[in-house]
This record gives sequence, C-alpha cells and structure tokens, in this order.
Amino acid sequence: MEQKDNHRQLFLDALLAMDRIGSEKVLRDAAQQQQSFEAVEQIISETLNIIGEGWEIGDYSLSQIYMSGVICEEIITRMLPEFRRDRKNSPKIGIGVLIDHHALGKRIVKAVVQAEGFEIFDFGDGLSVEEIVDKTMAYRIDVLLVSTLMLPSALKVKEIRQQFDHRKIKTWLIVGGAPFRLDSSLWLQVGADADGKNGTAVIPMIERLVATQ
Amino acid sequence: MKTEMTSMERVLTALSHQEPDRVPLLLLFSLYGARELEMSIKDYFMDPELVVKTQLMLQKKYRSDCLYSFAYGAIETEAFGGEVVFTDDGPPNAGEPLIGSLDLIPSLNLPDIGSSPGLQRILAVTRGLKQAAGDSIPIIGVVVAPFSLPVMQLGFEKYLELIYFRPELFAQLMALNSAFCVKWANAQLAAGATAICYFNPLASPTMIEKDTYLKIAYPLDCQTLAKIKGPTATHLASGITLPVLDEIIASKTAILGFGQGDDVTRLKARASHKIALVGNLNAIEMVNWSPEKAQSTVKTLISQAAAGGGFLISDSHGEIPYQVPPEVLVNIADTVAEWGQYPLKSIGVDQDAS
Repeated sequence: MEQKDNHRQLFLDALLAMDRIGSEKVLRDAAQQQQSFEAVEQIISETLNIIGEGWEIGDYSLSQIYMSGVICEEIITRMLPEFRRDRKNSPKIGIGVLIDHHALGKRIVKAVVQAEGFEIFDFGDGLSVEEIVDKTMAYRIDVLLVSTLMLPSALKVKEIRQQFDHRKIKTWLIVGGAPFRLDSSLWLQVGADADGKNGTAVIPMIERLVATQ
Repeated sequence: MKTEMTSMERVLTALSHQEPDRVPLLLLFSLYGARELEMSIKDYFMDPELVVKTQLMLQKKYRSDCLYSFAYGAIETEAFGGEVVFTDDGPPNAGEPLIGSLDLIPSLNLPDIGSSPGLQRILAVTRGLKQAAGDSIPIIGVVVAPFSLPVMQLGFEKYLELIYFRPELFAQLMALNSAFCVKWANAQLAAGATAICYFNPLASPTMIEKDTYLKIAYPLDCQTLAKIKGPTATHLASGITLPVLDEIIASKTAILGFGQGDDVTRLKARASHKIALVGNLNAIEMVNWSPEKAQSTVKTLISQAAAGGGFLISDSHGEIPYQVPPEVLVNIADTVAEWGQYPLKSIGVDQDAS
C-alpha cells in the first residue's frame, strides 16, 4: 500500500510538472514492481481523480487537467500493446461535441476513459443533433457522452433525447461542459441520464452500466 | 433615503467605495437586443443605429445603470481575419481557428481598426450611445486580454501547447495581442466609452494554474492595462478570482468581475477599499429563475457585498443570455430597487427558493 501511495504521489507530481518522461517512468516502475497493468491503471485512475476533484475546489486548473489527460493518453497508448489487456464487457462508448467547436472537454474525457481501458468512438465536434443521433445508431453505442460549450448547444440535448425516444434508442446519455457546470440541474432539464462533471466522474457511471448488463 | 442619483453618479460613487442612493445594477445586454426586437442576431449587430436605440430602450426598461457597446468576443479575431459563426439564439462564436499552425504566428499582422467593419460598427455604437446619453450613463466597452484572446485565435488545445512548449512563439503572440488590445481599448475610449472591461478568463486559476499565469502573463497584463487611457474593469468571466485578487488589485484596475465559485463574503472583506467588485448572478441558472429565486439571490448578494459601496450587481459572465425571460430581469431590477437602497435594510437571507 505504501509503495502504491508513493507511486501515486510521484505520478501526481510528474503530471502537474507536465513531465512526460518522468510520468511514464513512474508507471513503468510500478508495472515492473507489481507485475501487472492493473496497478498502472489504478495509479492513473486515482491520480486523475485527485486532479479532477482538485479542480472542483479550485486547487488545480483546467490546463493541468487537460495536460494530465493528454500525457496519460500518450503513455497508455504506448504501454497497452505491451500488456495486451482489454477490459472485458466494455460497453460501446461514443463521444462528440454538439454544435460547438471547442473540443478541449471532449479530449479530456476521452483521455480519461481510454486511460481506464475502455474503447471510445470519437464522433468529432460541431455535430448537429441529427449527426450525433445517426452515429449513435450506426455504431450501436451504449453510452453517449455529449460535450457542449454554449448554453444554446446544451439546450439542444433535449432534441437528442427526443430523437432517442422517437427512434426507441436505449443509449445512455451523459452530458458535460460549461453550461452544466454552471447550472447543476440543467442535465435533468434537457433529459440526460447523468451529468458528467468531469472525466473521472464518468467512469463510475460507465462501470455501473457494465455491472447491469 | 438619499436623493436619486443618475446612473453615472451611482456607479462612480460605488467605485469610490462609498454608498450611493442604491446598489448599481449593470445588466450587460448584447445579443439580448435581438431577442427584444424579435430579429436575427446577425442582422441586429450589423445595424449600429438600431443597436444604439435598443441599448437605450433596454437600459430604461430594466433600470440598468450602464450601456454596453459589446457585441461578441469573436469580433476581435474577425479583425485578425478569422471567421464568425452566427446562430439563432446564442452568442456569435469564432469559427475555425484563424491560426492553423503555431508556426504561422510570426506572419500575423496587427489589425487595422479603421479597415475592420466589425470594430467600426462597435465604434459607431459607442459614439451613438455617447451622443444620446452624454455623461449621465456609463458606457462600457470591451476588450479581450492578450493572454485570453488566443483561445479564439488558436483553439484551446493548440494554445496550451503554445503556452507550455513554445515560449518564443508565445511571447511573439502576446506582444502582438497586447499592441492590438491597447489600440482597440483606446479607440473605444476615444469614441466615448467611459470604461473598458478587460475580459481575461485565463487569469483565473480555474483555467491556468496561478504560478504559470503570474510568470508568463501577469507582467504583460500590468503593462497592457497601464497603456489603456481610461478606467478598466478586469473580468475573469465566471472563473474564481480570490487566489489572484492581490495581483489584480496591484495591476491598477478599478473593478473586478467575479464568479460563482468565489466566496463572496471573503472576497468582499479582502477587496474592501482596494478594488470594486462586480458580479456574480448566475446567468445560466437565471434562465429558470422563479420570482422568489430571483429575489432571494439578489437579496443574498446585496447582504454579502453591498455594505459600504464598492459593489455593483451584474451577472458573472459579462452577458445576459438570450434565453433569460424578461420577467426574470424585471424581478432582479425590482429587488435591487427595493432592497438595494442605501442605507441598506437588514436582510434576513432566505433559504434557497428554487
């Protein structure tokens, strides 16, 4: 336990310093010492969670969350093939930015979801309601993560819900982005299934869904 | 009850950390004018004469203490050659980033204000407002701070790459943006703006960690603000402000726009007689406010921040969203009229009435 805490602290320090090489070294040391990739995943997950929660209370910045996510994404991409581990029963996850073109939030969440070993389909940004619903159907998505920046775009999520209902699509709809952070009840008003406050908050939602499948 | 002041007197008294007749109310209307006129946002902003008339009408209708010449943030990247995307019911936004590759930064030129139609329309609005209101109502102009403009120039992801990994190009872009910011702010002041709102969301630790901001951008903010030939209000557009309060005070700006994440009571205590505060109604939640919720929120804010002056009520982001019902704005104005009179009545803070 002490060793794991030590690795987590070293990894946190390296991520906050945006030290790509140092971050990877910590994880490789952990993987070697514990002979498992699960240990690496756990360190990544717990560390990103600390940074995500720290942002909520003003201890860390959006840029630190973003850069940490990107570094984790890069390390995972390099290390995964060596360990050849995929999650069992991974639901099909899709992510996209509705209407807006600012994809920062999407990239953060995508990086965290990938870092947790889930497969995720990136539908891009500037998507219309029709495009995002069509892609959800085409890829048979189980969990759709919708990111927005502006209030009018957030309100358009209602139309996704209407389309889902109309076409009898059972996909879980999780929303995120600035308007939902500023109004904590907005996700309910637009008919989403959950409010993905940040990347790490999305993971337990996906895991709950996996457990019920 | 004190003798009724003009909006200008009310605002200036509050800014000098004294109590005016009532708490100033700054309802920052931009695209809301198009809603009131039931016309397209694009057509509305293309007609400076109509914007002037509508600003005056909105100011009177909702008892606001300012006029606002701002149209949309992307008007500045438009001047650099960028694209603006208009929508039916939201702020016009920057389209594809105008700087596709960081290596193009050295080839960027300082925009000529005289040949930018968008900026010229803002100046025409400012002149029209000044002609109509004279010195009775403050006219607020807007600039985006050099450190925050690249979010629209580059997109956020590429900008973070610039900040952390390309220091020389970052310095070049900051120098260019600062020169533009000063020119644009001073042009608005010359056209009749009373003060300039210096939008700088990236100065908030919500967006960029404080150490990095202080090291790479704060000195530039101080230099830029010093060259603006009029009063300024630094606005962090919903980000938290308390961790950088002392630095913002030291930057010689007169007003700080604060967000929902700030502890209002602590902020008021630390800002007292050093910097005036403007904020922090949640404009997103405002869309769904009941009359009771509007009243309780405004009353709470007055009780936390208005004593002794140095405080102006506004939203926390710098714009009333298109979706806010007019009744909510009337409720806010009514509450300020009833509970914002100095000397303040004792306000029992209501429970959440949502």
